[in-house]
Amino acid sequence: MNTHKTLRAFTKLAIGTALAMGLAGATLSAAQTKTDVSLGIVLEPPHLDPTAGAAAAIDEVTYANVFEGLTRIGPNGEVLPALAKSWEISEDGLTYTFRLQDDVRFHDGTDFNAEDVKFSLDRARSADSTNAQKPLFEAIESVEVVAPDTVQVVLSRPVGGFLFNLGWGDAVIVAPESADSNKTQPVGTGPFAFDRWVKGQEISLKRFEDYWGEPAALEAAQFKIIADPNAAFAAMMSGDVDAFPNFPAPETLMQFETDPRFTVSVGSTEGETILAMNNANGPLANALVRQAISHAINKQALIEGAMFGRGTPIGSHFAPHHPAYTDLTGTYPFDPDKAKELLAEAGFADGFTATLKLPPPQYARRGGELIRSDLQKVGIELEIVPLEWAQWLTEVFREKNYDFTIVSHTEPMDIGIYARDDYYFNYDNPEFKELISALNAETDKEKRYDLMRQAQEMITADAVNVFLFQLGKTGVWNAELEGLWENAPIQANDITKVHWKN
Amino acid sequence: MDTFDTPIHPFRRAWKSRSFLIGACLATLILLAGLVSLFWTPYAIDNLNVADRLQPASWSHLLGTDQYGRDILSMLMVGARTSIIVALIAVGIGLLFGVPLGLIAATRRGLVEEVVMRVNDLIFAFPAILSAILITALLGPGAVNAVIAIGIFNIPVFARVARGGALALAGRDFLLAARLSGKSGLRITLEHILPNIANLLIVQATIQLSLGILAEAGLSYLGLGPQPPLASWGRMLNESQTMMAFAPQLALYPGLAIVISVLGFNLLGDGLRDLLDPKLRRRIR
Repeated sequence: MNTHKTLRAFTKLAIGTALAMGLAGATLSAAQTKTDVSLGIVLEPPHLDPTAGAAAAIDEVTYANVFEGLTRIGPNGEVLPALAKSWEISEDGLTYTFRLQDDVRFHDGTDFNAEDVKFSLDRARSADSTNAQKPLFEAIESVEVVAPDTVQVVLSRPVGGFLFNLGWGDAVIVAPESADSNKTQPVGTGPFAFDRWVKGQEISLKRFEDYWGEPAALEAAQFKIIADPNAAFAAMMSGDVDAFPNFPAPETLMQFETDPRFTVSVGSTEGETILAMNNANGPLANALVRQAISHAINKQALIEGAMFGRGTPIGSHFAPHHPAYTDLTGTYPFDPDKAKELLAEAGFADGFTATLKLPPPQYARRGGELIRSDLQKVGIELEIVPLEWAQWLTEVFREKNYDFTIVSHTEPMDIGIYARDDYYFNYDNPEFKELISALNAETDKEKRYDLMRQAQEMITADAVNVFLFQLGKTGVWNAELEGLWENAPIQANDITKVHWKN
Repeated sequence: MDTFDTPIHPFRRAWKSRSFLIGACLATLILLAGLVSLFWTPYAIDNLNVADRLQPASWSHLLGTDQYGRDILSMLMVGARTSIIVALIAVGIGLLFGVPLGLIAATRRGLVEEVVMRVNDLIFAFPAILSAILITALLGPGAVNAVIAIGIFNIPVFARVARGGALALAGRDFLLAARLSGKSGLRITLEHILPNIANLLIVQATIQLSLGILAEAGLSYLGLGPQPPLASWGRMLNESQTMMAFAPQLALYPGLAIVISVLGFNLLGDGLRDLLDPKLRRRIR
């Protein structure tokens, strides 16, 4: 009797345990089957065509995920093959022959071939092109279709970083059928296809099943637009977003670091954060005034106060991790008295008033308050005008209707923007333009580096902008998530290799 | 029984009304802080000094410093000034437009009343803070636009109070007497009706003041209120939110300031109603 009872109890126990384990197994496998990811991004892209806009947010959604170029940039800044599986470069460095991947389809089902490459490159370099990085294609003389899977690009002069240039988001390959509607319905060749865009909230992508290469591990991805640092923190903590590759609230990182649910990644970006000045406007047209302003700003305090230490001081528009970097941080040491002297010399002993237009990111909003205070001490009164991102792109970037603004330039090796006509700094120095042309024509590495150093020195001497700091890349993501980039050598949130740990 | 019929002197009643007393104390504290900040604050709030940031409370900084090294007490004082100015002007807008509208509606009646009051209802039907967000989003963030946004929603409130008060007086003997003596409608309204509804308006103004302070804090919290370097409690709260883990006092102080002022003006309003309402005059203990 007793044994019988015991036996029955055991059976019950066994069944119970099995059930419990089964349940546990079921929940575990439920966790394992999570096949999508939601990423937080701070700024909403104005549209989704990377070949027609300067906003980094476009590439942060589409680069490598939706659109691909002939080459692509890897997580550490290396050039990797993409739609071109191999290439040959002629002895004189002028002719590039690309062999294309086979069986590539666009998301709308049309075939990809050499004609699309010719179309895309010709479109980007044409006179009426709206490409934001036209100088990338400037040296291209002709693009010829040799065979359906072979393209020959002939340059007018050797270009040192041509393969890197082709890896930019602005050089992706688009199809003639869909090129005009890519802004709202992006159609590329990448492992993810565009799904839908809820304005102001999120952009979702879904896996493209006909992808030519290794398929993505994720079935879907949502990019959620969260500019407010409080909301970003809450979204991360609640699991509403799985990853925030550029987390906007550096002061909260400590909390994430001590929480085993999260991984905090600290890397580098190409983001030179500057106080941009309208070099054609009033007192700012005077180099002495701009130098005075450079002296008046306490950059170290700015990095501490606005970024909680997550940033590296810079002295010019150049990334400190680049081999051609030259340390110019000592050119304009923090010295309010010197600033006042320079202002007096320039005829502004009593200072002046100006506006400081700020885009939404925290480095700008917080930095703006500190800069306003710094400049007030030398007599310059700034009125802070907070702008939405789209407003900033129109008013400041396009219409150049501003005195001061703060923004981070996250494109790699972008000192050439100072040579552009009609760029929003309104800096016009023929000498610098010559220097950049010389740099573009030079292929010898050492000579290129030398020219880069000269370029850094020239814009620093002219104090075109105040070079504040190199933005650190502080990402936070779910500890179970793998495959996100630690550094940001190019503007991208590449999720093609992202997967959940088992 | 006799004592119940003897009106108690207002001052003595004030002393006996607990909510009036507490409300008056809290409101005075906030008003004083705002007033003093016009002439003096312990430190200048537009002088940021990162080296001094996040200091705990000490004798040199009574409430410590914030993330930019600003003295929190000074920030709170200027914040009080910002709140009160915004709320006061908004109440002023409400009185200036709402009272005449309400009086016109009450004296004219008919179609005029219908139109005025229905438009009022329309504005009133909108949740005030939502429309304030809409207005500041359209006009752009800033103190002036916050004042306009909050002010617009005070208009129907005062219009209703003024109309209701005026209608309650209609048909009273002293009004009939005034009319018989040949006074015009406008003069009767200004000389007889307005003074008689003044107590209602004062009570309502006090309550709207507290709502205005709350609305200003709400708008600033959303980044739509007064912009830096002007201090504002709402923005202080917003900015301190991500620092709760290591500097909770940054959120605590402006939060307390908002609570104190809203509670203060509300209690003051309640107390004033008790004091000024003739019907309640004998019931105060």
